Amino acid sequence: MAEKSISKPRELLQLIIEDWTEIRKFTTCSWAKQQQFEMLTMYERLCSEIDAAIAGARERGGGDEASEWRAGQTLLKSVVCELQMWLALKESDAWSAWHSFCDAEQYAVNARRWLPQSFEPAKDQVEHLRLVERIAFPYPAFFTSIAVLVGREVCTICESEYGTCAHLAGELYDGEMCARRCEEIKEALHLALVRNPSDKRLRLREPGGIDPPPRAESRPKKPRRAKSKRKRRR
Amino acid sequence: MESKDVDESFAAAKEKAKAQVDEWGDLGRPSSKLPAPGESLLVEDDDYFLPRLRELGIDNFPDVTILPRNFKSAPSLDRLAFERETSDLRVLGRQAGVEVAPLVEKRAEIHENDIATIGAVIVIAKAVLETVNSVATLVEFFGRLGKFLGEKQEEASRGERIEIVQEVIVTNGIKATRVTYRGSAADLGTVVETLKREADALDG
Repeated sequence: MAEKSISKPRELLQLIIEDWTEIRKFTTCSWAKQQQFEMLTMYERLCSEIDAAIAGARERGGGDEASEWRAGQTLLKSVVCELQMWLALKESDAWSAWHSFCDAEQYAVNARRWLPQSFEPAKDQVEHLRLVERIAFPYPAFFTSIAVLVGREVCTICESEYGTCAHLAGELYDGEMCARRCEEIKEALHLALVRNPSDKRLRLREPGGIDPPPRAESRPKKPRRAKSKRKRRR
Repeated sequence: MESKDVDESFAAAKEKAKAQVDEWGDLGRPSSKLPAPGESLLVEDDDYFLPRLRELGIDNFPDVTILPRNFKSAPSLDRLAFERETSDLRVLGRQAGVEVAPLVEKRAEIHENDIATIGAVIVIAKAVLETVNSVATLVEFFGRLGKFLGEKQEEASRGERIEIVQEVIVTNGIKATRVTYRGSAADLGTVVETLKREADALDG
């Protein structure tokens, strides 16, 4: 895959279309780790360059252009996270792989929402990840879901109380996604087990299923060979 | 912690959960029947909205409002919930030019981290459906709402487009009709035609 310079969001989308067959080829378990890592590095660098392009567009007052950049970048971020997932699986780190998968899926869903409906790579990425989940993380899982009473939450675009402005959570405004930021929780109501969580990272770990995240204190210690040799000598 | 303490904590937690379920009611959305298979709309007389409104002591209600999930079960007006999606619906209304006002002032908003797959019940006063301009803005509003719910559904099903369910109550303050829509998110705007027809029939 050749590195190309791009100066407009449309060129980015064109680049994604041109690269898509190769991306699909690389985002598999069988592809070489080194090449996956190289693609990951290249797209991470491209994502950083797009951040600069978004900032530039906003400075010029090009809000729509900034949003177009962000939409394309979001699809690339999904690819980056998927590559991280495959690399983590190859390192037998299932927990990190699951988290990378969740990120990849969320980015893909957002990209599908923000890019034109006719943009096939975004649609393909969502469908591809659905299949990946079935194959790489099979068996339907349970997730936790909390219910709380929220006193105040603000719009991340204009910082006013959410619902009193014209910004809608999940939409792009001048290249930034609007979100609801909770500022006050009045009461915790319950914790539920659900099949359709809004955050798949809150997955319950089945015994024998996905390995728990590594913790420093529980990591197995390396056997101290020198000592045992000394023992043997005695 | 001894096992007796654990049992007592468990019992207390169960009691608290039961009290909460009694107060919030079941999710109750939709609270009525769904359209028959193959049909997209179900229209029926609504016999609880207005009496319950009076029971709660609400004399006036906004032209376009949203019913909290515990509308049927709340012991008093000040215990009515303020739904998370109320804020989203207010924004969608503002974008379309429809003033969506909550039934009660916000004190605290109920948030659940699960993805809601059924929209909140919307109440529309007949007067709103009497002018051409208002009808046009309602079409715009329901179109935006359909897109919003469709995206939520798509997010919940990870890309699979499934049907949405949306309940709307039309009332002239004396009688009320409930319209339940089940179908594609993209076609939700078409429900306004039925709402208009039912609003006209209320006085008859």
